[in-house]
Amino acid sequence: MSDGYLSTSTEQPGVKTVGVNYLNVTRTIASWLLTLDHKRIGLMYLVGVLSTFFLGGIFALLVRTELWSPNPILTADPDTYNRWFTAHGAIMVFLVIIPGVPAALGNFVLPLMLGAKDVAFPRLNLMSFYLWLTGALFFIYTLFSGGIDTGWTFYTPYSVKSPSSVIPVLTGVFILGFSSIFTGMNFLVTIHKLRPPGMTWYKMPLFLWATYSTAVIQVLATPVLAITLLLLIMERTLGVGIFDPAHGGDPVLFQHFFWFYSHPAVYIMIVPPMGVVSELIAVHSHKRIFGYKYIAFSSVAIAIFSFIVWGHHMFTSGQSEVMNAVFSAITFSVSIPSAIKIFNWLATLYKGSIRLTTPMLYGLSFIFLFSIGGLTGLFHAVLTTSIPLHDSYFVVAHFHYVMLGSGLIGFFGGLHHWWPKMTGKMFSEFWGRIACGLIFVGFNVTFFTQFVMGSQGMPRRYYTYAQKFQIYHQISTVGSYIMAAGFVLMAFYLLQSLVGGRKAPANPWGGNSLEWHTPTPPPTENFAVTPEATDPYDYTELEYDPQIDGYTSRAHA
Amino acid sequence: MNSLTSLAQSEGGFWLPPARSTFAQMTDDHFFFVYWVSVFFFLVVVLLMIYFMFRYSKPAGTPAESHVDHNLPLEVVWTGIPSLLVIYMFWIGFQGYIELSTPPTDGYNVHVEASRWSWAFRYPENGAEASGANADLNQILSSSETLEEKDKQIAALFETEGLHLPPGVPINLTLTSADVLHAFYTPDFRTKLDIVPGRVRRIWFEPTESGVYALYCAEYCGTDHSKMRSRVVVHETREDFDAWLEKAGSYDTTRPWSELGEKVYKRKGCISCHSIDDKPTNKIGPTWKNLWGSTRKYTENDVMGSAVADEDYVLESIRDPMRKIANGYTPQMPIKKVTEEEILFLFEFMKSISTYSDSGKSGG
Ligand code: HEC
Ligand SMILES: [Cu+2]
Ligand SMILES: [Cu+2]
Repeated sequence: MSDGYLSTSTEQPGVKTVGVNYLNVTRTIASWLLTLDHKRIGLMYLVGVLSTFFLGGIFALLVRTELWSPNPILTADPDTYNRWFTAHGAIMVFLVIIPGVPAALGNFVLPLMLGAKDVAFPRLNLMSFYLWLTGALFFIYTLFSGGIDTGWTFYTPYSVKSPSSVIPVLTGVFILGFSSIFTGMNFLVTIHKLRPPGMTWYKMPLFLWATYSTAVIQVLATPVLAITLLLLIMERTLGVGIFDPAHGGDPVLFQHFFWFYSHPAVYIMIVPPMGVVSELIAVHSHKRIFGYKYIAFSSVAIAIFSFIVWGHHMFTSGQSEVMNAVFSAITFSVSIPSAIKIFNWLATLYKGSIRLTTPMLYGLSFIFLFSIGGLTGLFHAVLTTSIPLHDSYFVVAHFHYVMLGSGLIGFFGGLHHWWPKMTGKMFSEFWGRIACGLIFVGFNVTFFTQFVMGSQGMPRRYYTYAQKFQIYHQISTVGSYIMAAGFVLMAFYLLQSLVGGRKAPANPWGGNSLEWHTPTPPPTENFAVTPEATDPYDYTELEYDPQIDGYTSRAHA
Repeated sequence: MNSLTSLAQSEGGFWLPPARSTFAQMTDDHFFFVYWVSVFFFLVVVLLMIYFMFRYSKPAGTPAESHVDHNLPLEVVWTGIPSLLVIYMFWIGFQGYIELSTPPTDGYNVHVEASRWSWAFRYPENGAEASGANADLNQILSSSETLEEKDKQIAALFETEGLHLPPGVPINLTLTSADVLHAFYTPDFRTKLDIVPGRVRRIWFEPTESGVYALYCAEYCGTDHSKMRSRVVVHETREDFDAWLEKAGSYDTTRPWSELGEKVYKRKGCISCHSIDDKPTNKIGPTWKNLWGSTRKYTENDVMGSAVADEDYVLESIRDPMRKIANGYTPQMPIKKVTEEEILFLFEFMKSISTYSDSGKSGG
């Protein structure tokens, strides 16, 4: 635990030129666009994901504003509304949440955590990014060519008949799928092959366990989505009867194929943020993570179970009673590993030395919101209660608690946690906490209300509605504005930190995984010498230095 | 009759609308069992979290009080208890589900046909074919009237329209769809079922009280999905219901056929895709205003053609809508079950809203 590599936890020794890092080593545009450096690719992903998050957010606000009243507010044309909610869903799922933690944060952090110079296949990594970009361009093209109105689930036979631009979006999602598969493959190989000397599986930071489990899902499930979308494209263009009964196809088959990918995809969206939260909770409590192996294996268990529960999206589709019963039973099994994670995080807080920093507030928000998201999943797993709640606002609220309240909150927690490492700058803690508070309050006002309106009977994807639901819609809309204010504030102080932020120390929070043992921002080659593995959750060797408001290793000091 | 927009005001709680079918009570019991278990675990997690958050909040640099990192008994307890609870949850849900998927043999049968964006209800029991489309509802909902005025109009509409049911018997529904997926959803009965084109679905429930209940389409089906609503009217007595069936099942042939044709236009849901004025609208089919007798350009098997809209043309458009596709439109018209008699009424109705010369007809 002593020695050489620890000395890199302060500034620069071992790096040839002082002040040179991956951000400023070359400055041409081409040096970014053609870079093979995982950190630069990660940053490009980050810019992409945040821009599309902004775009998806605008559609969310349009939807919420329109729902202020059952009478027309922004548009008198239901088709326009239908295109908005489809754009919102498709952008958020395929462009933002799925690549969010793995591709944007993961790309930056994963090789650093491994003490590696890069991912195993840097060129493939760059290609993943360009595939993402191409997919995104197809989405943008669709928005300008009139939009798509099928909902992000593309249910047949409506998606075969819909007069909107279905094919460009399907093509976009198809391409994005490959981006996701390549990232997954890259991470699998990287974790297998590039671990540093001394890092056995059980010494890996939990974030790596999470990305590893996710990568397995990405590689195994995404091809099923790809082929499904291809079949749908064939059906639309060539009239081959696969999913549309008018051509002799079966619409329920589409749902099986679609959810065979899209249920595991839920875990592509949530397991990596869980990995982030394991890091956040441990580092900001300055205490060894509780139940390391339970957390690690719960990620693996979730990945495995996620493949055999897809039928719970189809309880009312008319599939056989036996299938409903089996899927209901297996679905409950996913709840256990999730519960295990929550309890272990709580136990980590116990007797820690907690600092309520912005990343920590996101970590704690995650525990709060994910508890609600997870527990409300139970209502959908019990066959009797799931029937009235299916396709109502209750399920809308449930998956927003999971995908936004947990998935994206985890992402933003990670973003704040690693922001100093990425940019070399500290953001304003004051505004950071306020923004987190606004988002937390706004989120709950928006979506908790939707639970009530859903169980009262409000169906989803409705442009207009019975008047008794108006009050809920209005509360929900106000909540979405509060949340939006939080995100806008976040954009401001993060951008401001780039120009006016205080210089970040190498280890601002007191983490001990390898990324905190290299200068901030890291040099292109990450580490001057290949480091040896640390014990990522042993914080006893670190010492707080008020001068730099950061941590240094005792050995060094 | 209470109004559509303020349905179910009585007895509903904060979470759930009133329970109005025999198994709604069971479903609600399950709901609240899961609910209280959830509330309990949520409070345990969040209260502990908040307590730890403040109790162990320390200035920077303070070492943690302890570094315990595992405790087997604890792991066993917090894995075991939730496991037992979810097994129990599965079990009650499963048992209840078996009960509600076993239809009784002595129920009252109604056939429901869903199509974009209306419902039609048929009553096989006495051979009558009474339909209760919600087509007019669309117009009322999208009008610019005040909400109160809309309410009144809707209430009047459902004197005759909607799914009317006799009281005190189990109801067996068979459901089909003419085009895309829809779902039959009545919150007060806690029932929902997707309706899949090309298949016949079945659902049953037994209302426990007379009244008027909301019926929604819960599976997204395109443009007017949110207006694909209707209501379920459970009559006070069987005699009431029979009287309604008698009246709704027949056309009053003492009235002019053009008037009856307008009824068909609404009942069979043509209204959701065809307008009858010449204002540009965003409906997906051509307007019927001045359709009759005009020359229509169409595509048939990728070949362009034209014809005068007369009896033959309209008949074919209804019986085989995918054959000739009017220029400027996409093949989206479903095959609707329209009787010969109703088609005659439709002819007169179309004529009544068109100015045309009979010479066009002979030329066709
Ligand atoms: C789901 C929407 C929809 C419904 C419901 C619908 N139609 Fe159509 N209809 C269309 C569309 C779209 C076209 C134009 C394409 C075509 O020619 O098939 C059309 C065309 C027609 C035409 C030919 C008009 C022309 O300009 O050539 C007639 C006649 C017609 N419909 C009658 C009916 C009748 C009668 C009903 C009710 C029983 C009905 N439609 C219900 C969508 C619909
Ligand atoms: Cu799922
Ligand atoms: Cu619908």
